[in-house]
Amino acid sequence: MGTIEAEPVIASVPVQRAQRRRPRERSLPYLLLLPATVTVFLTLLYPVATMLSLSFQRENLADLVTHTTTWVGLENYRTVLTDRFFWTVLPRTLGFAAVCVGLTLVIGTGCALLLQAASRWARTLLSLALVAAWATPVLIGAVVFKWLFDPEFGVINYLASSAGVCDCRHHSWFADPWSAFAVLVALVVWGAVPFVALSIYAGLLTIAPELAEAARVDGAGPVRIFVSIIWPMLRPLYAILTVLSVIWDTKVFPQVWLTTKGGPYQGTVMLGVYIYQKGINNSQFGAASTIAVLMTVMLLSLSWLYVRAMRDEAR
Amino acid sequence: MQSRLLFRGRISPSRWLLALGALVVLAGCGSSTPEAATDSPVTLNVWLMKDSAPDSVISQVNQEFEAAHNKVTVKTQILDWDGRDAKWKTALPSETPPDVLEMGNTDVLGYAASGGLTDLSSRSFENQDTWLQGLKEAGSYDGKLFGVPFYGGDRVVIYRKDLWQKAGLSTLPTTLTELTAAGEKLRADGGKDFSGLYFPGRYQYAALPFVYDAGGTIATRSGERWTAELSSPQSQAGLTAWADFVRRVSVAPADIDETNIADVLGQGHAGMIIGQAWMVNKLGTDYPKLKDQIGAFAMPGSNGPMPVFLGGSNLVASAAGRHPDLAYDWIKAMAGTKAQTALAGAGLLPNTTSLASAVTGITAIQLQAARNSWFTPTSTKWSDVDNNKVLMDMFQSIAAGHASVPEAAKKADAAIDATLNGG
Repeated sequence: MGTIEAEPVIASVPVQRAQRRRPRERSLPYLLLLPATVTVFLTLLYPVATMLSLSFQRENLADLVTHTTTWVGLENYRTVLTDRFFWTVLPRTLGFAAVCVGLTLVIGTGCALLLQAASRWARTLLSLALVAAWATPVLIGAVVFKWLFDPEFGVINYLASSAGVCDCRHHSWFADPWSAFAVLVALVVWGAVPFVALSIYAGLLTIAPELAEAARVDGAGPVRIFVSIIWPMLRPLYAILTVLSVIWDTKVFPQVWLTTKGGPYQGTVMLGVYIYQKGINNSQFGAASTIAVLMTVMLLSLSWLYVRAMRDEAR
Repeated sequence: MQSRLLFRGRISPSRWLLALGALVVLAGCGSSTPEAATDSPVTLNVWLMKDSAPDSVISQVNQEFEAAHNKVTVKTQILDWDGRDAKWKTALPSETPPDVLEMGNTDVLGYAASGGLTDLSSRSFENQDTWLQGLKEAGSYDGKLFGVPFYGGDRVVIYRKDLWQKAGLSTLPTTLTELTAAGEKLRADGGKDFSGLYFPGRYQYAALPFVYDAGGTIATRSGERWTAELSSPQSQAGLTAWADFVRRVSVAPADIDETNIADVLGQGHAGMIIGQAWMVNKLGTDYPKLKDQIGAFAMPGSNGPMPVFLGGSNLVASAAGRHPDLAYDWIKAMAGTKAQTALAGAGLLPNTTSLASAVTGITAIQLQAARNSWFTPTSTKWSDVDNNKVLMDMFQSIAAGHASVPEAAKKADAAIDATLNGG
């Protein structure tokens, strides 16, 4: 998955200079794109349109059950934007995403460089481990982490206590917001690193080994090689990995819901969980949709900025 | 599309008419009298909750129901308590909602007010006059009956006889002071990681009785307005007594709920828990060695038994269900004397006081405890307070020492006032 997605980015420059083709040849790609486009429209556009329309409706439990539509204009937007808790949750979500994305990229790069440098069997072992983590469904990963850190029956507490690191029987990792966040960051980064690592590894393979060889002859150390050769060549790849990671880590939901449920005292509530609490728990489906719309707009504009910056750089 | 598949090749006009006629007949049956079409097989969808009526009782009711109703199949699904709201809120507005649902007695009001449930006031049920008052009230909204009492349940102290003996304890405590002493003795005897009575901080339905024991309450109503009362001197005294009790007898974390308590007792990390009666049977099954070592008694209060939360479930029929008569028949069977007697045998409180003489053992202890019971505020918005974990957060912050009793109570009161009186 990672390698397939990564390659077009690197190859994008030559593709743009394709020669002019005949009309029939030019219509074929569009024809081939049609089934996917239709599917995307049906599965994505309908829910998005519903979400947008709900954000202008009252839609409480009674409205939902009896299929009543009450338009309220911008009322939901006014409520959400003047909600103090929303302004706590928003920066928290962005901060969490920033930490996760940063760690993911750093650890991912480390793993990729290790994959390149390691011997064959070590490389196989590492790739297997990465693929296994990547293949683990988010839900299962979250449940496994919850049990690892369980205060009574968790392996982490057991091992730490047995090894004499600390006396942490009954220690609750989710009782304090900071330690709860630490576990959440570990869980999210653990799930995100494989994709990034394998993508960067694929990118590394496209760099001609002669370049590093020549640099080494000129006396460059590993840091210099990374800064002067690898980083500039893989910059577009890093850009797209950052955009994707920002999107994934901002809309994080199952990892939080299955472990902390937003606790302690709402301290780990982030946008995804807040939408769920508003919508499903409190039956304010209109307000919940409004937050979802705001979040979508935010992520779209963020991605758009990145993509534009990337395109400008490629020119 | 359908006719294309049925009539391959060219379709003559007469066949078109025939098909059209058949459609009209079918549509007519579907809309006017949904249950007249007994010729075609019907599936009655029933959604029950986990840890509710035992499988044996459910399958017996279903068998008899299917025998009495030709070509009707009952399809039972078991839902987890956690996340039930999401499933109900998705299913009730849909084209094909489940016909019968079990709801926790704190859940019914909100859904009844939304218009999603069928008014069952005009239907008759066995033992209707002797239903448990608390369950009947939990199922009534605006003077109408929406939720038929299914079963009740309250919490009792479950203890390990072997560990009691080891600690040299014999007589069962009848006051909170005696219970505290027993808990402290067990804890001293069991070592550092051992709880005399394992009491997680977020276990609200075991902690709230302390508030009622001290004469406090969650909220009171005057007219349409609710006033949260956790900051009242009585409620605060109860919260303080609870915090003191937990500190003395338990080493359980402050931030977890009661999910694991049965296993904590079963694996020997505690001498007692406050649990639901069915846990006694479950412990015997999960830990066969302990089969004869599990006992139970009513939770003692400062003066007589502690007022328990009367939990339990009601059976409701969805308003948009396709088979209202069948749904009624099924609810009637499950709420009837025969099924209720079987339920009582399995450790659940039957929905009627008329079966009081039929209950024995753990159920009798529960019934005795239920004589002095209380219920959460009967507001349609209470489930929002519940979903927002207002009380759990309050108890956790006190147990963890993150807030003093007055601070935590004040914060919870503000949240309860805002939610119950909000638009």
